[in-house]
Amino acid sequence: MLPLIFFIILAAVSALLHFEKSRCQKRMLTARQQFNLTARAAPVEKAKAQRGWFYKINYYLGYAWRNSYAAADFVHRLSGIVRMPLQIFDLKIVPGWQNFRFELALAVAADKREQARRVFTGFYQVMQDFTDISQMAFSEPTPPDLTPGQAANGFVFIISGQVETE
Amino acid sequence: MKLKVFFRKIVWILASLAVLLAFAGLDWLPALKELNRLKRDEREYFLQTNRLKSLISRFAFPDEKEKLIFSKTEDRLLESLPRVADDASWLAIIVSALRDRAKLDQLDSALLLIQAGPGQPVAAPLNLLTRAPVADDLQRWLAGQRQETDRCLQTFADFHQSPWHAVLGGMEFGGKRQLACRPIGIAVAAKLPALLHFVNHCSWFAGHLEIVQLRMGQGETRPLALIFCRGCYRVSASSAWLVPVQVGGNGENLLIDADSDLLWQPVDPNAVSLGREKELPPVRDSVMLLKKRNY
Repeated sequence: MLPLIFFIILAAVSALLHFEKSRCQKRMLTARQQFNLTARAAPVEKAKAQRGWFYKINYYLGYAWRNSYAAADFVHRLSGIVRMPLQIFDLKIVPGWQNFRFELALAVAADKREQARRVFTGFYQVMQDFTDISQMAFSEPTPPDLTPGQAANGFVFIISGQVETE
Repeated sequence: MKLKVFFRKIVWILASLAVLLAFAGLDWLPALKELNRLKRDEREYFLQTNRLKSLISRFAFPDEKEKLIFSKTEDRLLESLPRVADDASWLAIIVSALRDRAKLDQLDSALLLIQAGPGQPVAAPLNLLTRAPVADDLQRWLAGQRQETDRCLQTFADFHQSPWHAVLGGMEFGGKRQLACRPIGIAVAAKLPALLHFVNHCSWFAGHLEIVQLRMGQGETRPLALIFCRGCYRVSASSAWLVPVQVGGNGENLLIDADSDLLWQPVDPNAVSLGREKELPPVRDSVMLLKKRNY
């Protein structure tokens, strides 16, 4: 008799647990349905995606004009501050989302390295006044002694940096 | 005898414990876990529904006026992407526009550099100023960086490299039209004012060319420039420059923060800085001191 009662108790506990589980499942499904109905009735995400798309496309439509103007304007401003014995050797501009990177090789005609560095430092300080330049660094001519190429071209300093276009 | 009864009781207790453990391990514990998960999910959905309801009460949904703005924006996007039959038609439009622009900006020499197909070397350059011979200094300068030009055009042919791949790559244009994007190079020799005006103007015409790289050097008496651009267009025939539709999806989270307050209010076209064609201030000649490289 005792084993039978024992088994009945175990089975009753199981049945109660499964009954509660099924009740919870129904409640969860109702909550999910409620959420889906609310979301479907008011497509917030869809409206947000449409607005996001609007801003992205407007940015795209003005992007090419902004980039070409920014590049031409930068070269224009640069041309206003380059003075002998400084000369632009090479210039590369690579546009990005809201800025462009540049690499500028400047040749300084000078007999001595110190003299070239003095001229270059003056130019670099003027460039630092460009308010839209967010990053800038330069590398000194290497090797320290004039190489045959440098002898012909002067001391070549490389400035690389980033200009904000927004 | 007593020992036998004792052992029987022990066996009974052990068997009961085993059955209890079996029930607990195989049925009760998984059921309790499932019960907890269901309660958690229910609570989560309940909270999300409440959050959504509160959000909806504050959200400005697009009205007819805003929908019209969206529709006009789409029209403007489509206008900016020329609709052509094939790659050759797009190239013809670009060549014609570049020729007009080169004449207007009074360039001394202008060459168009294109590849026959993605991954191929640059074909013979096309003179954009047919009445003027190609300047020697420009030809020499280009010859000095031929490998670099090939490499650049091959890199820019990959639309994955474009910052716009995530916005335009996933778009569909209806019918059989698909998006194609092609890089080109424009080599220019001109006095500085003309050259800078051309750099500024090259994105203005129908082709909507986007500068992806600009290089400048020095010729005999004037600056030289190599402008790499990318043009996108809608093409109906098969194209070697097609942008795969699956590339980039719809550009989620690319430029706009999905939680931005901006997305909660109706869009205001007047508040968006579109950027317009803008002329450079007057550029003086001979102030740009470019040094000729000794090769």
